[in-house]
Amino acid sequence: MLPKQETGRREPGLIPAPDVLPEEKAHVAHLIAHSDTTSALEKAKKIHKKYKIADSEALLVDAYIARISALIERNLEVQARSLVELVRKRYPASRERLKEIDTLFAARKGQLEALLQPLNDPALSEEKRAAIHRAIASQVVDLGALAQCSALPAEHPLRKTAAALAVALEAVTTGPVDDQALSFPEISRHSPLASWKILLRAIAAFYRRDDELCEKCLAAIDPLAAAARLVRALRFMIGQKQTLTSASDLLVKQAGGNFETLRPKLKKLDQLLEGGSQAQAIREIRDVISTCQQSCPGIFERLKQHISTRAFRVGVAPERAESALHGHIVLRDAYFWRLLARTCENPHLHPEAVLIACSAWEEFRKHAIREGWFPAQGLEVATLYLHMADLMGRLPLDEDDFNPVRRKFILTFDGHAHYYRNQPAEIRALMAPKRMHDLYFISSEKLLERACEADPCVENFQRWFDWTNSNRPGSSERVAGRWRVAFPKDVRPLLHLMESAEKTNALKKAFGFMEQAEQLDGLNPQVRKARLRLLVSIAVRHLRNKNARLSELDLQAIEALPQAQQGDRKAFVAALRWVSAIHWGPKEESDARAADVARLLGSEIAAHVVLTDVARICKLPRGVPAPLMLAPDAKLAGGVGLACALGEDMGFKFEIPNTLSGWLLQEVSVDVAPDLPGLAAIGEAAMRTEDCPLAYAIAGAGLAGNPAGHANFLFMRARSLPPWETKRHDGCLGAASELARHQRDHGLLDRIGEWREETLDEMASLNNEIAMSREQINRVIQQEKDQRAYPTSTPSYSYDGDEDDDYCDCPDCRRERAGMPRGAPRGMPPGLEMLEDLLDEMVEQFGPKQTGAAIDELIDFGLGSKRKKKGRRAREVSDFDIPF
Amino acid sequence: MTQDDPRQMLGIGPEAGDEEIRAAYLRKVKEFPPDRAPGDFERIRDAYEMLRDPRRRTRTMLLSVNPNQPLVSLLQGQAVARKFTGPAPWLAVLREKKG
Repeated sequence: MLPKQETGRREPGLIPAPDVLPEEKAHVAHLIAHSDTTSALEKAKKIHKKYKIADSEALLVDAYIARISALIERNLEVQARSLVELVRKRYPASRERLKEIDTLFAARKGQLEALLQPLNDPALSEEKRAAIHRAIASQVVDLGALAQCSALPAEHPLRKTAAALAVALEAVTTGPVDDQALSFPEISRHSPLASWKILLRAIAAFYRRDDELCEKCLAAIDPLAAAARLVRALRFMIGQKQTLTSASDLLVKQAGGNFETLRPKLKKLDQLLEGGSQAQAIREIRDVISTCQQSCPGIFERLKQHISTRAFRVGVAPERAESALHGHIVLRDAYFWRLLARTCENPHLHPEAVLIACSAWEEFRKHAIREGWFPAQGLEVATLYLHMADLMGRLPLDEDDFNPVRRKFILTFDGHAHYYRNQPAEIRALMAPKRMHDLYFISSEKLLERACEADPCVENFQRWFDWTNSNRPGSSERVAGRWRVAFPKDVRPLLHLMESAEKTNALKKAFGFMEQAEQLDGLNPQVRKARLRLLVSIAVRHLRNKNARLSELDLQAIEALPQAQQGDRKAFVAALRWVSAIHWGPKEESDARAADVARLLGSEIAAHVVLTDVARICKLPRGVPAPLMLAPDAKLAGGVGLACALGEDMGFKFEIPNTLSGWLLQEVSVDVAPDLPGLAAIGEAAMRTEDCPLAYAIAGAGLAGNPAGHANFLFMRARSLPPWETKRHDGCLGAASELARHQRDHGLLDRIGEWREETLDEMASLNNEIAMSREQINRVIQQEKDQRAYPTSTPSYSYDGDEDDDYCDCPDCRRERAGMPRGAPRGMPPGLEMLEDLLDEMVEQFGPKQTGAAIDELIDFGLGSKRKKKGRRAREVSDFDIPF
Repeated sequence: MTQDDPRQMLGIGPEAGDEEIRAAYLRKVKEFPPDRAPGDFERIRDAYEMLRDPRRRTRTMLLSVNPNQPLVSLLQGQAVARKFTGPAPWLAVLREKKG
C-alpha cells in the first residue's frame, strides 16, 4: 500500500506492528451488521489510527463502503459520491472494492447490467445473491429498465415481474384500478420487488380515498426500499404532517394536496377579523386567498364570500376588502345574499340594519329561485317572507321612532347596485332597475300577505290575521275575508271576525258571523259557546238599557240553549234573571232568584261574587247586592274560585269584591286549597284588579299543590312580583316557560310570550332562549314556596348566587342612595301617578331637587294626563354601530 | 349527546325526508329511552319536533348558515381533489437525488 502523500504519513506496513485484535474487528462488523454505519466508521478510524497497518486499512475501507452504501440507500447520492472520491484518493488499494459502489450508482441510473449479471452465475453464493437483491430493492427506481435489462434472460422472473409492475404503476396513476389487478401472487414478500407491490396498493387505496388502507400499506413498505421514497408524499396527501422534497411537493400539487398550509392561515385570519388590526387582516386576506386558490380551489368561491361579509361586519371599507381579494370578483349569488342577510340580522345593530337584512333576503329569494334552490311559490318562499316579517317585528312599534329610519332607507336604498358591479350577466339580470325597487319587504303586512299567497295554509293566515288584528284592526276583516276565500270551510276566520266585532261591541254583526259559522260547523264547541256568549252579551246590553221586552226574549233564548244548561252556567243565567227581577219584579222574586244562584252554585260566597259581578256588568246601582255577612272562620277560596271560573267560562272578567280580598289573602296565605283551577281563576281576577299581594299569595298556594299547575302559578308569581324583584321575576318566568314547554302547554307559552312583549324590551327574547335544567326549575319552585310573604323591601335571596350587583333596587334603598332618609314620604301628585315607578330612578340619578323641579315643570305644562304608549323601547344605538 | 343541530342529533343527512327522519327518531329513542336517559330523550324529541314539521324544517334549512362561523370550518367536509397524473410525477420523486 502506498503512503498518502498529501498527509505525509508513513506507509503502515514499514513499521512492524501488532495485528488488529479480532474483537476490534468483530465490533466494527457488528456495528455494520446493525446498520450503525456512522459508529462503525468512527471505530474503524480509531483502530486504523492506532495500528496503521494493511489489516486496519482494510477494516476502515469496509466501514467506508458500508457508510457509502447506507447513504445511497437513503438516497443521499451526492454525499455518497463525495465519500467515494475521498476513499478512492486516500486508499488506492480500495479501488476494486469501490466497484461495488459504482454498480449501485449505475443501478440508480437504470444501468443494471453490472448489478444483475452475477445472477446468471449458478455458482453465485447466497450471500452475494442476497446482497444483489438488497441492491435491487433499494436502488432500482426504473422498473422499465429492469424489465428491459439484457443482462438477464427475457424469461427471468425479475424481468417479468418488473414489467408487470411498470404496467400496473402506469395503470394505477392513470385511472381507478381493482385490488384484484394488483394482487401479484408471483411476487413473494421476500422478493426484491415486494415493496413495489405494496406501494401500488397504497396508491390505489389513495385514489379510492381509502386512507386507512393506504396508511396500512405505507407502514408495510421497507423504509430502505426505493419504493419508500413515495411514502412521505402519500402520507402528506392523506392528511399527515410531513416535510416534502421539491419533487414530492410537485407531486402533491398535481395529484392532490391537503389543507395543512391553509388551515393555520384561516385560523389566523379568523382571529384578526375578530379583534386584530384591519391592516393585518387585509394582509392576511391576501395570503389566505392566494394559498386557497392553490391548495383548495374547491372552497375558493365560498371563502371569498365569507371573507367579504366578515370584512363588512367588522367595518373594513369595501374598496380595501376588494383590493385584498387581489381583484378576484366575489360572486353575488344566492349563497352570498343569504350570508349578507344573516350578517345584518345582528340584533345589536341599528334598526336600519334590519331593513338591509330584509332587502338582502329579497335578493336571496330572487337568486335562489334562479339557481333552482326552490320554486318561485311554495313553502320555502313563504318561510322567507315569514322570517322577514319576524325581522320587521324587531323594529320599534312606535311609528314615531321607526318612520324616520324607514324614510331614510326608502330615500337612500339603491337596490344594492354596488354589489352588482362586475358581476356575470346572469346575476346582473336580477338587479332591479334604477328607482324601480319594490320595497314590499319593509312592510310586515305585505310580507305576511305574500307568505299566504306563496303557501296558503291556515297557520300563515292565522299569523297574518293576528298581526293585522293587533296593528291594523281596520284591515282584519279584509284578511279574514281572504282567509275565508282560501279556506271556505274553515270556521276560524268567521270566529275571528265574530270576536273582532264583539270587541267593538258590534254584537249584531258578531251574531251574523256566528250564524254563518254555525252553518259551517254547528257542532264546533267554540261556535256553540259563542252563541251562548253572544246571547248573554246581548241580554246584558238590554238589561243595561232596561229594555224589558228584549231582555226577556234574550233570556228565554238563552234558557232554551242546551249549552246554557251545562255546568254552573245555569247559575249565571239565574243571575241575569235576578237582574231582570231587580228591574221589573217584586223584591220576593229577586230574593228568590238570588237564592236560586246560591242553590245552583252550592255556595253563598260564590253566589255573592257572581251577583256582585253581574250587577256591576249590568250597571245596577251600588250596594246591590247587599254586603255579605261573613262568619269569622268562613272559608272563601272555594266559593270565590268557583265564581271566578264561571265568569271566565261565560266570557266575563269577574273581579273579587273589595270586601272579600282581605279575607281571601289571609286565608290563602296560611291554607292550601285543593281546587287549582279555582285558585288560578282567583289569581287572574286579582291580577285584573292589580291586587298583586293577593295574586302573589294565590301563586304560593298553587305552588304548594299539584305539580301539574306549577307552570301556571310560577307565571302568576312572576307577574305579581314588585318591579324591583327582577331576578325572581326572571327566574319564575324562565321556569314557567320551561315547564310549559315540557308540558306542551302552548296556550301558556303564548301568554308568557305576550307578557314578555308587553313588559320587557328586546333583551327578553335573549333571556327567553336560555333553557333551565330540571334542578334549576325545582330550586326556583322551592324558593318561591318558601317566600310566602309579599316582598316589600330588599330582595332576600338570589337564584344564581351572583353577588356582583350589591345595589338593592327597592324604593327605600334607592332613596337612601340618593341621600334621602329611608321611609321618606313618597307619591306623585294627581295626574302624574304613572311617574310613580320612575320617581326613585329620577331621584337617584338627578337628586331630589332637580327631580322636584322637573315634576313642577310637568305639572305646569299639564302633561300629567298623557299616558306613555305601551310597547317596546326603541333601542339606543349610535350611528357607530352601523358598519355601512 | 351535545349536538345542537337536530339533524346531527338524529344522525341524518340534510336531504333526509319524512320517513327517514321518523326512522332515525325511533332508532334514537330505542338507544336513549325516556326512563333511562330522560335528558337525552328530551333533546331527541325536541330535535324530532323541529324536523318533522316541514315548515320548521324548511326554516332551519334556510337559516342554518352562520355568517360568523370560523373560516376554517369551510374546510370541513371538503375533500381534496385527487387527480390521476400518470406515472411521471411519481417516478420523479423516486428518481430525485438528495443532498
